[in-house]
Amino acid sequence: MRLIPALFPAAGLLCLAGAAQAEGTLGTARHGNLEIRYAPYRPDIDSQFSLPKGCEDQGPYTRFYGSGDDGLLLLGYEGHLMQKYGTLSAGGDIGFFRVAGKAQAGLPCRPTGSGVATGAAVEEADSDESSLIIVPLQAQVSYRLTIWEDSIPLVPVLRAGLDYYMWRMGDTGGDVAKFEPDQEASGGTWGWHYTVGLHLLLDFFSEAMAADFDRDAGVNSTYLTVEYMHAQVDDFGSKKSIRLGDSTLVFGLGFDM
Amino acid sequence: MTSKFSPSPVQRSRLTRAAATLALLLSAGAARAEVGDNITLELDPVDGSYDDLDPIGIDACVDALSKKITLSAIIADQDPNQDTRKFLFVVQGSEQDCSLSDLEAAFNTPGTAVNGCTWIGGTSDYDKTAEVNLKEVALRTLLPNNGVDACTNGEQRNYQYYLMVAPDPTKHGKGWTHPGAKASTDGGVEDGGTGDATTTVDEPYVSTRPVTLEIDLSPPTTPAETYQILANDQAVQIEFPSDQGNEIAKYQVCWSGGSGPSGCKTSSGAQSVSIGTADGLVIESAYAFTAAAIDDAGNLGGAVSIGSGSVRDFLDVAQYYRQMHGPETGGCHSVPGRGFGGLIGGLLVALTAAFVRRRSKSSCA
Repeated sequence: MRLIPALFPAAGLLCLAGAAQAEGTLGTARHGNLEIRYAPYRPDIDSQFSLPKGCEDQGPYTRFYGSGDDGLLLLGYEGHLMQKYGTLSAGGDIGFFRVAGKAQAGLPCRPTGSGVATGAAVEEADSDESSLIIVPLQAQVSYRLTIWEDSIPLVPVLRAGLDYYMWRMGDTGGDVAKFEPDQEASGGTWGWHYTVGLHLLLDFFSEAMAADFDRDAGVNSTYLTVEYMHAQVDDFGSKKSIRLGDSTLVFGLGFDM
Repeated sequence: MTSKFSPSPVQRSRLTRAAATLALLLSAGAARAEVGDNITLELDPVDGSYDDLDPIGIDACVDALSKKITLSAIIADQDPNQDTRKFLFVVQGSEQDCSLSDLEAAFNTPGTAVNGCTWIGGTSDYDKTAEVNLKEVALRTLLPNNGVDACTNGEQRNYQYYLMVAPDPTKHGKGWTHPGAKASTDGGVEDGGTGDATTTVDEPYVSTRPVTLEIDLSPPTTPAETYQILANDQAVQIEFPSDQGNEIAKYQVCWSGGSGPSGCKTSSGAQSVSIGTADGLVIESAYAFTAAAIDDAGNLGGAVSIGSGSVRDFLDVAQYYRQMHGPETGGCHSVPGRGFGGLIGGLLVALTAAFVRRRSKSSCA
């Protein structure tokens, strides 16, 4: 079953190898799209816990890593499958996310069968940290409305796909943490995502530079991308799985090649 | 001196190359070899480390000087223009220097250190081959006064020692410069390992590069303040003062007063050390800590009190997640093993892969 996650990058490689040879409106043939993306990300771990009033900030993620977002980096490639009525592509992304927070003592809002038990005051270790690493794998299909991009440099984009997020919690010594003595806190969680966004065609602002880039590096078009992404990563609604999804804006740079 | 066999220059050159090659092969694996045209000197220093011998401290001094070194030397093809030559072990230091008169004295008492010189044996006339091979010689026996002064007299000193071949000054009749000075500065002692064997009476030596032996009999001064005792999971981390100079290599931290037994632990560096339950500390028990600086030579400075602290039991994120009744149990969730949702996921991935593969093939057709 470990082969299943490997299908994600494999999908991208297949597209790379056998993408359609359609000609673009300008420059060299377009085979696929390489994207580097960044998203403020906060995995939805705490939503799994029913925290009563006064204890909202005692979920595991908030308690260890705060209430803000941290950065998720994504690198992806999609091969173009069809370019007649816009561009239909398929491919995959791989990402990296790491966050670390001080080890904690005290459990002031422990949930019980009848409510919430109060416990010791919160304390933080002076320097020991516990980390969370997530490596998202995404396989997705994208549609870009590129029909009018030579006259209007904004390209609407829709994407949807499957996700497999590999994750690992670290203990205070830097090793894999354990839920129980024989139960390592690492694994993988399935999910899905969709995005809606706009890609700004940068070639529009300097065609000469874009032509040089195409001639020298084979980059047909360059885009500045903004997308809204909703990801639900919880083994398709399993109540026994950690929740790693999020709804966030994704910013990136895309190279159509 | 005369010889029945007087090789031609060509023969001598061939013999020289052959001898040098053989010497290189023989010296393979030695810590160091200095090879001249016709002379090989090998010196395996204490600890087998030619370049960076660890400094020797108070406690280890006598033992360190009892460690064995190996000296071996060969003169394979003496130049007929040369005079009688002998093998010497030479020590230069703050109090021992091998002078010309010392050298002459040394040649009269083989195996006995005269100030900085020891004739280790082996004499070569120009038409003979000489060889000396001393294995497992205690370093102190080659030092003046059997090395006793080195560990008791003064606080810190550096010695340089090396193996050399030198002409017998009583034979060649010419004065020559101080052998130690020549060995330290002249081109005959090269980092690359090849000595100058085109010796003449005016440059009558081939030498290994000197090995520095640092003896430090002065303990370091332990800083009195600016220590931090950090409470961490199952351990305390003690941060040492940052402004402590180069004298301190590490610290010995000792604890007492808690529920568990007292003890000591030596840090691996001079920045911090972590002491915890694995070292015998008991959780939630207060301990008093002292620190003592240790220098590169292993000398232990005086102990100072650095405060108190206790070990705590902190949770990592997984432990906290579980204590909050989080349901996740870890593992790479297999597609059928996670119920209906997992099955759908697996099917979708398979369909996507199949679709992409079909499209790719058709594009290539």
